[in-house]
Amino acid sequence: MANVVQAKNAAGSDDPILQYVTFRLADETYGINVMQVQEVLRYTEIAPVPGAPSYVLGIINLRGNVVTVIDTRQRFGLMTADTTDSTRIVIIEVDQQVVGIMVDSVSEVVYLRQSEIETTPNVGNEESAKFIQGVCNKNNQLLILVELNKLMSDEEWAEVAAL
Amino acid sequence: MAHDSQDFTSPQEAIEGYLEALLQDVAEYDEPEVTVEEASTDPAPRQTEAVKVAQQPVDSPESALDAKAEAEMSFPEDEGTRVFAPPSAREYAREAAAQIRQRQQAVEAEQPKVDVAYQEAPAVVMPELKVAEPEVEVKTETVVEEKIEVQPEVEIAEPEIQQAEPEVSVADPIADIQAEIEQDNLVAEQTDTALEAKENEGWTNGRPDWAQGRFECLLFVVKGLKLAVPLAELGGIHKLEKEPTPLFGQPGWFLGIVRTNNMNVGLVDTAQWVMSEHINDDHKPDFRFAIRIHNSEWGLACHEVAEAISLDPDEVKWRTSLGRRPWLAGTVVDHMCALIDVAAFARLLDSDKVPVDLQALMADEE
Repeated sequence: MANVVQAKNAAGSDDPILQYVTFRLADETYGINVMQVQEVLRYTEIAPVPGAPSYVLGIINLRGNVVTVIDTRQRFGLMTADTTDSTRIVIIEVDQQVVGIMVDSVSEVVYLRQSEIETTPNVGNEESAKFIQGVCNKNNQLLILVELNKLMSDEEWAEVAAL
Repeated sequence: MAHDSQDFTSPQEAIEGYLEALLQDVAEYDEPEVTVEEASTDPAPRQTEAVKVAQQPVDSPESALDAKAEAEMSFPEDEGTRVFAPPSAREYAREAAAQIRQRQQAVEAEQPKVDVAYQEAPAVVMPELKVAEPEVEVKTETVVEEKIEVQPEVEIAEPEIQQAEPEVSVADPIADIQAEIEQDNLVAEQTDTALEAKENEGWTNGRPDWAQGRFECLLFVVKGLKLAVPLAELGGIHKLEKEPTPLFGQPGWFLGIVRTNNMNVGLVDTAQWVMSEHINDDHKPDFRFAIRIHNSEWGLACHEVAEAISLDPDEVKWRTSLGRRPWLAGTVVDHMCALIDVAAFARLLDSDKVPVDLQALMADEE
């Protein structure tokens, strides 16, 4: 896959091609940079952690490692929903920390040119408004790109690491 | 005497009884004085005129009495054919006649009373009782019916109020806007005019640059409220065929992004801006069109797009300061609509001062 990306980047270095893993959440499609995704897990039992922040669902055992699972809906300010067979836990790596984000489903990996990413009007004062990197129209569908680096503040990352 | 005077049940019987008794008495007294020849040869003339008259059918006691009186008065005149009766019989007859006359008078005097009483009883008392009962029932029924009819009238009146609500909702924002314009103008007179000129960017001579002469406007409807945008600053009209893509963390008046003409347009819930005080939890942003602002990525959602009109600048009551509705250029009283300064609206949306909670903003400023 890396060869394909390199080949496409070589086609236009001024306009690099990016890969995004798309997932569904509350009937909308979101994309995260594929380079930050480690793996995608089926929903497994999540052990709640007493005293954890509200945006933390709990922890899971991933091959002997404890991984904190973030409630993405709560983080995005969306309504809560029950888990289904399509529910997935996407393991991501941000700032050398590994966490999992729970999503409704995982769709595909899409190729996007940097120039295709458009900025969005940011008229909200909420912290969640900062998570949106931009939008891109792909396959007649608007893809909302999420910037994972801003998913949590440094204090929040430290709080998660302490769990 | 065969009959006692008090045994008579009616005047006619009394008269008949009296005459029978009189005949018997006359026969008894006349027998010695009347010759056999006269009595045998002509028995008919023996009968007195009174008897003849009395034997005739008596229509009424009065006629009988008159006939009897005539008979009595005729006795001295017809001596050749009359039959003399003894004085006692005459006196008895007079007394009997007087009694009968008195009885008759008493009966006549009593009869009207009895008749009236008898007539009044069925005519007044009984019918009144019979009629009164159903009247009471009818009144009771009608009262109940009227009560029942009143309730539907009240129920009918509610839809009328519901039908009137849209008119009120349409009229109120215009009235509010006009009142706010006047209030803003009043405040503007008391504030710094330099700041006012700075806020009114793109305005000349107290009106927008595009309104220095006659200008065209497009009318559109948002939740029953008619608005107008100048065609000079109209970017395009797009039919909303798909639901806008919402972005999390954005204010409620930002409906999301719609993709149209190879560009993303941020859709604004115009109703929340122009009539935030009339928006409640039941508000459903079921808009059909998006009016894109010229040279902007913002679009105003609306329900209907109406006709274009031509306006003279004097027909518009222009704002004198931005106030709390900087997007408002003025009001057009003739068309009962608000004229939107779309350029100022776009500048507000792109600025850092754009309000998030419009209802709270209005509540605070009020």
